[in-house]
Amino acid sequence: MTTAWQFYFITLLTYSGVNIIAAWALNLQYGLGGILNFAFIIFQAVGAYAAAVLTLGPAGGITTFQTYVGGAHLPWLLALVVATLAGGVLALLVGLVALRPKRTDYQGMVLLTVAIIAAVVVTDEKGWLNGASGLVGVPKPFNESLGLGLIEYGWFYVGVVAVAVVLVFIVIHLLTSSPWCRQVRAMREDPVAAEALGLNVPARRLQVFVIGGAIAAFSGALLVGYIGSWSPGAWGPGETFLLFVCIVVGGLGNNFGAAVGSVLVLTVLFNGLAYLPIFSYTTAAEALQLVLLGLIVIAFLWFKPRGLFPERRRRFAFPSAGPDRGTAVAVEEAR
Amino acid sequence: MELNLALGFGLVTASILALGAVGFTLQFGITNIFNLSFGQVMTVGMFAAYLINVQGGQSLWVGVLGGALAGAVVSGFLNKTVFMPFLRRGVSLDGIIIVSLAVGLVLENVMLAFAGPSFKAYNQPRTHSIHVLGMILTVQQLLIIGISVAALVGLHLLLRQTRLGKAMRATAANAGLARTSGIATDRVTMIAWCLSGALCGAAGVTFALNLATFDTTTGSSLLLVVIAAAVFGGVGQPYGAMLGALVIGLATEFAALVSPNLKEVIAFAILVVMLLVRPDGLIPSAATKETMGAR
Repeated sequence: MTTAWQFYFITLLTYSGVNIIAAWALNLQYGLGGILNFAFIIFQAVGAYAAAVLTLGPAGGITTFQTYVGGAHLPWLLALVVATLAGGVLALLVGLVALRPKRTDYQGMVLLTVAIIAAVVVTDEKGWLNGASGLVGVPKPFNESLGLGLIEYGWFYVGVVAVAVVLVFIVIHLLTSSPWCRQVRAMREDPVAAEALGLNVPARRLQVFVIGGAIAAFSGALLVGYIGSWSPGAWGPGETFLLFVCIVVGGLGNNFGAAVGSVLVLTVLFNGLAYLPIFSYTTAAEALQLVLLGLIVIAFLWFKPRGLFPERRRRFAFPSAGPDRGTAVAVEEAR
Repeated sequence: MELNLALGFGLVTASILALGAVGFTLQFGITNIFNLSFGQVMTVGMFAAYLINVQGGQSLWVGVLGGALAGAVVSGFLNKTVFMPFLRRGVSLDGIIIVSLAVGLVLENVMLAFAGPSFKAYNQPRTHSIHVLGMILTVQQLLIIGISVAALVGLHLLLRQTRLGKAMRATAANAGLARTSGIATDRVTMIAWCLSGALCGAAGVTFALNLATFDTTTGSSLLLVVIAAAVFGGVGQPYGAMLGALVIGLATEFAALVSPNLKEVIAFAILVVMLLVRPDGLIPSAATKETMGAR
């Protein structure tokens, strides 16, 4: 493989891994929790910004051309942890406010507004995170100690992302197969009934929101480690919609589906269309790509509203016969 | 002096917002759908007026009418082909929001593919500005205020003086009850979508006219400000939306005196606060009560 092709695949694989993690986080929030998180991308952004400033070092010095707050020289793994926590904290703050309306569509509107305000403020306040130009020159994790060439390092980072995907999968899998998630699903299906059964719906909703926010921030921190720069252009409110497309296509509430959906939509579809011959001007191709994306969502919601991999229907039953008849064991059976 | 200037611009902005917010709320009141493709329908209106005014060489005011007509047609078409079928199938309102986002994405990018990313401007006759009470307004801006007032008075008469208006208010108050009472709620809903689209198109054209230039994203950039105005007075209530438009229009222009960047932020802040504190708006049940106590 030529260097260019290797670089292409490294980029593709890194982005795919990051997108899979992000899709899991949004799936937890919307697919399972029913929260219309139209601000999802700001949680990815906060993780990326946190990881960037914590590894860039204090502002000034060699980076006089950009201004930001909170610069530090933390080891990457520590920065990754802090960035993840930052996502959780931001989600807690936003969630305490935005999840207050009773109607979930009102919550979605508040979140959409929060996302737009965040983009406006970060772009305008040059002193915080270098405004519209964003941060550049974010150090590559372990790059100095490894001393690898560009391509070798790229494959190394693909490995890092792969490990991260596995770790997040374990966390997500444990969460989604827990009794806690059963409560979350009950909340999504019917918040009033769930509340009547004694569930603390606002608390569950906030928990889902915070965990999802932390995972989103984790994905952002991973991404900025690879691309080395981060600016408001990377996290416009429209980006959130792309992830909604992924989980709708893959299957709301299904982790495997969310992963497949993100690969199909963001990796295969977006890159596949880039190979179409360019006609008229370059934006026309991009525009038609987005038209196709919109039509795909509408088509899926109409023809296959449960997605390619529908959420497993869970049933709870007492074993009807056998020696341990009478013991109250709930058996989860896949249909 | 500066305050008077801002008051003038505020009134113009309020007039534009009122068209949009009343349009948005008319549809929401009947279907409960947060139609996030509303911004792109405004852009459709802008481009329709552009075709009539610049390519067709017609007067700008024919363009406004054309924009309203295009908005009505597109909006009605979307109801017929997308929103109504999804509602019938029992898709949740959250699901329909995602559908409306997808519809907006399609509309915006179809326009982008055809029109390209460049900024467009209408052919406006050169006019002098008029000084009223320390406000300086162009003839166009005065006409914008006039169009808005005329449209809203027309709507008021429609809602209050005609059988159709009564049917619309009844459907908004309780669709099930209205249907049982023999009102063809599907047809009323369709008419509401078309009216909403017409106001939306008119709002788009007047907004672009006031801005001087527009592109395919102009409508969607205005969407949340329109929603803020609609939510302020209680979403689903035309008169509340008018009040909301006035408040948001003036608030944004006065905030612009402090810093132009504050313009949007103040509208969004009002939206967030209203959704949190009074999701039913400033005058929660006034309209509902009135409609329920039918004459």
